[in-house]
Amino acid sequence: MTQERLRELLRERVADETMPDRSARAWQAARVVRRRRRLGAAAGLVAATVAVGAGIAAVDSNPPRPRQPADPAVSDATGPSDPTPATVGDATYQGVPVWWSPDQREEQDLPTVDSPLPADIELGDRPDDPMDRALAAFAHGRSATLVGPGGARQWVDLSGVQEVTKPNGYTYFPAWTGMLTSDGERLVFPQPGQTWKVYLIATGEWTTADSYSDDADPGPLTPDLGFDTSAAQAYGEVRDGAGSFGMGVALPVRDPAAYLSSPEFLVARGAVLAFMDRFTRGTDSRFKECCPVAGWLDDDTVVYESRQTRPLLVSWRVGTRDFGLVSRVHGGYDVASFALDASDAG
Amino acid sequence: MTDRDAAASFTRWASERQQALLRTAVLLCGDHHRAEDLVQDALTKVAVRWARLRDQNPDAYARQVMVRTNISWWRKQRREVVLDVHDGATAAGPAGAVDRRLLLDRALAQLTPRQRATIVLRFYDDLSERDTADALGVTPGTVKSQTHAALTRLRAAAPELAELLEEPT
Repeated sequence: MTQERLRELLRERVADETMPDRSARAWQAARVVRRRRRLGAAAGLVAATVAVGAGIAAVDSNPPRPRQPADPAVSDATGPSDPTPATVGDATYQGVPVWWSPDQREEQDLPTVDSPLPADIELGDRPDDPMDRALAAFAHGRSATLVGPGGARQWVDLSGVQEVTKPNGYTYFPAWTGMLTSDGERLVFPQPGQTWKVYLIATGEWTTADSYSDDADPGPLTPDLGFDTSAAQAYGEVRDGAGSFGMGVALPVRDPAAYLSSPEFLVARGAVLAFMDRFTRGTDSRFKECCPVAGWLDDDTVVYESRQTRPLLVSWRVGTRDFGLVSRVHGGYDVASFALDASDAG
Repeated sequence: MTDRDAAASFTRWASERQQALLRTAVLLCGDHHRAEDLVQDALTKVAVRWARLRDQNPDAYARQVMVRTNISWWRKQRREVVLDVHDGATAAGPAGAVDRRLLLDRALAQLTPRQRATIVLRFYDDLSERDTADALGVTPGTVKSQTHAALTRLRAAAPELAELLEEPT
């Protein structure tokens, strides 16, 4: 078979293939996507800015209606997945509805929900399942475990990744919450000399690059939500308008006698989820920066890591009391990164 | 650029290119309806990024979306390739277009989605090894080896096709 004949045969095969013009429909669909992203980001900004303002938390049994994020530029676009701002929470803080998460023990007993991730994720061995893309990457020491569709797992040796030294002299291993690119196809690590070490998951190849592109997630590596970081520090990745914050804001808790005050919290689409951290006697403790956002199961359901003695991935249907158990993680890890968005729900 | 201008320039590009993208998509996945879905998805993703892509290479981005979406879809379906190219194929006598089409479909079905994409991008879209590598997210060396493996597999899987396409002497 000659290559030229192969070309002719391929052209002959599809010469009569046609389809209706879909350009207008594609543009309209794109407007809905853009609008959804803007609304998500705007709602997060509004809630975060208000939530970290000065003042003492006030539990209000008759909360006022939250503000509606507006975007007149795209107000003619509609879609079934438009975010609906929260209306009634468990409490309010400065007029913003606040929901209470299950505490770390209650999370262990949540019902399991369907997700692209397996219900149990094992980190202790060295699996070698082939995969084109990963949904999650768990770094532990100088290695990582990738979790792909269908429960595939792959152990990756990170010994070729160098430590990085900050200007203040602090040296660290550059595994980070954004190391898995949003398409799930690469691991990327900042390296000395402002270069990047890139691991191609499909082929197992390592390359070095001056930069890398992540078209599906072009936002800054350090999210800037207009947040007063002197009050609470954002951590983890921002995923479609959802992000997590550390302690520093006196959000209300379910019971001040039973739960840590100034809880860490998550902001998503105009709603705030405060993480209830139950006082324990050294067991079942939430870690500092307990709950980075992992991604979205669908257009309404965000997933967060629950980093604690027995780590979990937990889902929250934003603006409701609907929580679910996505995965139990068996084995310790330093940091995790996710490529989990609504399209993976299939 | 106003939203109306952007919409007009996108629509112009998409209307001109979508039939070509459809043909590539049909070769990538082997199914017309699924190919339409791939094109629709790619057009939407291009439209979302139109402000950046319009002065760059939207064709390349659309191809990349189709190739990677198809591979991801194939992996999710975990579809096994079990077709037997010898079963029922019309090998003897002068082959018409229908026979050649059937043989080609069956032969392409023997390839992995990545090999298949390599063949389509290199020999239908006439992309360079570098551009094919970019679309697939692999190195040019991988493209070279995948091309060799795919051609070998095609010849082995579809000897009738190889015979049909021998150079005239």
